[in-house]
Amino acid sequence: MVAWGAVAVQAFIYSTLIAFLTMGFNLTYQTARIPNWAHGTFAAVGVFMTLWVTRVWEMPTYYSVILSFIVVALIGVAVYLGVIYTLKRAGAPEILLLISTIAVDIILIAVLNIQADYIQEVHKLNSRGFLLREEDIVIGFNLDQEIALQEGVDILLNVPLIPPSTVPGVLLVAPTLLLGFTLFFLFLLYKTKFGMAMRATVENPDLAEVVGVNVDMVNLVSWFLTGGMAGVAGALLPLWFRSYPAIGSLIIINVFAASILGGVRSLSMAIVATYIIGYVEIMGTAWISTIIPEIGGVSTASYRPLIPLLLLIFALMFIPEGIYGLLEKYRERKIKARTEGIV
Amino acid sequence: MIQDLVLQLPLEGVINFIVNLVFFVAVYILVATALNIQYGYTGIPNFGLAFGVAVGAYVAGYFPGRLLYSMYFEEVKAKVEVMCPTILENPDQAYIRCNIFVRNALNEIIKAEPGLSTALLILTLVIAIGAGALMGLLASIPAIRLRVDFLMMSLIAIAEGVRIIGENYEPLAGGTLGVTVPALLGWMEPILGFPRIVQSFILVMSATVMTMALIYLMLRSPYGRLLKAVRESEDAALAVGIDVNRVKIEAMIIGTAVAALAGAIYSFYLGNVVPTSYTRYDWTFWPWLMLLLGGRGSEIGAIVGATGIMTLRRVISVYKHSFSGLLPFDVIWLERIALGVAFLVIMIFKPYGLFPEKPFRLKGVHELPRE
Repeated sequence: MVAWGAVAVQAFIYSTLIAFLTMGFNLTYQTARIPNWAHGTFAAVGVFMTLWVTRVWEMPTYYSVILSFIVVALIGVAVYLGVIYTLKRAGAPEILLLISTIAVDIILIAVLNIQADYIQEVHKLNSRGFLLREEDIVIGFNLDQEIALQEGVDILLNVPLIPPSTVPGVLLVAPTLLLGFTLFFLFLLYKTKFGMAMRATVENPDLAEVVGVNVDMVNLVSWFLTGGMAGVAGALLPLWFRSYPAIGSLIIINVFAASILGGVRSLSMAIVATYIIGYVEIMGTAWISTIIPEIGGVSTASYRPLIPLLLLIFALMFIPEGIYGLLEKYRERKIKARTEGIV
Repeated sequence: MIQDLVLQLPLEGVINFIVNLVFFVAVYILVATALNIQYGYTGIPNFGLAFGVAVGAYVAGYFPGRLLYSMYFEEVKAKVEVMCPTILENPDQAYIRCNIFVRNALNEIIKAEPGLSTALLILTLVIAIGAGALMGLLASIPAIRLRVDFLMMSLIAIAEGVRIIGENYEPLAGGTLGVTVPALLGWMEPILGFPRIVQSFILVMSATVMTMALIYLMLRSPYGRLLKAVRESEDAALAVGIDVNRVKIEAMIIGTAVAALAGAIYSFYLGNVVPTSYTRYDWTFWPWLMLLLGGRGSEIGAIVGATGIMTLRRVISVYKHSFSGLLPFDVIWLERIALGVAFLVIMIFKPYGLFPEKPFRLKGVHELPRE
């Protein structure tokens, strides 16, 4: 028996957290013209911030959201200045810039693993496959936390579910923050002068530079903000999902699939596509598991990452311009029809 | 200090080390050359290189063992049924569950069958190449016409998909635990007196030398220049009537087939296939670094890069355990950091590698008429 409500909640949080990343991925993709392959691992840094804050330093959980924002934003700036800006100035072709983000990813994952080993060795804490649900604040007070944790077992991740009478904090905090960031970006991009410079850079970096836009500054700010957002998403991740150092490599596939499906040029459609992929992935796995519980000696849920992959291939083959491109085409056709009437 | 460490190694260890090294270098030369065809010559940034290697390994893990198992089922059953009762009820499952016993029984049997096992070895390698070619084609279908950044990300995603299937789907290659590969050159031991290490050596060297010779013939022919034309400018190539997508798909097919061959001989050498060991670090990132270090698109770049880096890695792998007690973390992560840093350093300071590609000269085209 599948608790569909619980699965839907699972999909909601999963998609919400990945939406932070998709939005940031698309923004830096548009301003710096390179897909940041390390974006998933940026989130993984936030994941470990939460582990340090809650378990090692034993501070209130949500401090790590602020801390991760700052730390990962600075990592973003460092990566931009130290790697991408340097390579661009040396006249490196686009392809080497792409590879450089993979190199950054390799280094970051290794560093995360080193500190994970250190946490395990020195602080005797589980740092691979840890889950910090009990560190989350609980909103709604009718049930004791202890009892709540014993109720129900999540079919996908084999972890206890909190019954709906209490609401874990992440369930409210994540969407609120996502909404806040989205509004902030809309304001920044469309109501401020700097936003105009950003949009100009997206349209045509060379032309923007000619008219006096400081393209490097635009890039720096976008790497700072998107890094910070990835940090926030990462900080919230272990409050609901089992986490480990290489979690970024898994998430980045979702981010990339959502980015293509939504259309790389649009922030809002990327978020829509993230939710589509998240729901299809989680609900789809739960549904298929009820029909075929086991494929090739392991549970069907182990193949879950294949779903965003298939959606990615589907998008590449049939709508390579993404949902945004489709809407754009539709809009163009409408305008054409209208003007034809006038002429 | 290094001298002391070397002297501590027994002679047999040194010989083993050298044979192992030659073997690893040979396999990685093949993989780096596969990448050179795709990226160096044609400009396809295949960051999913590992899936080609994995496909070849899965073929080696799936095909010869299962075929022999069905051919000699009665003999194997007689030998194995005591240790592994599953074989009586579910022979199919028993192949994976009692894999080691089955392998031992099969190795005993095929020792007396030189003709069959050699034919099977060649057939397996051919199937591995074919499966690699097919995978190259399949991966190209959604991806090849994309812009370079989309193309790269799609290939990474496809490689991830192959990894997920290989690591989970047990009938293919035993899932996370892996599966053994029968020693198809085992007949050399009783007949010619060659021990296992020599058998593998013969296999690896002959496969590598033949493949590399073929590849060099191909790359030096006008076909090599066709690939480079596509890399240099797709628009210009289109304008002179080259079917750009077709050429790129061909490069993907050839490269992935070579990678699959490397994967198959690698599994024959090890005598097993463990899907979790076909990581992107070992089979995508390291070959990429080798190619970038040696020089992409140059004729000896892949060979120099693979030899240099593999030698360094093997030497480190011998000594790294002496450090493991001193640090509060696994030393493998230091190697990974070195890998990432090496990428950045090469890209910033030596973007064309140690042996940059030389412009080719054609008689009558590049030679100006004498005044």
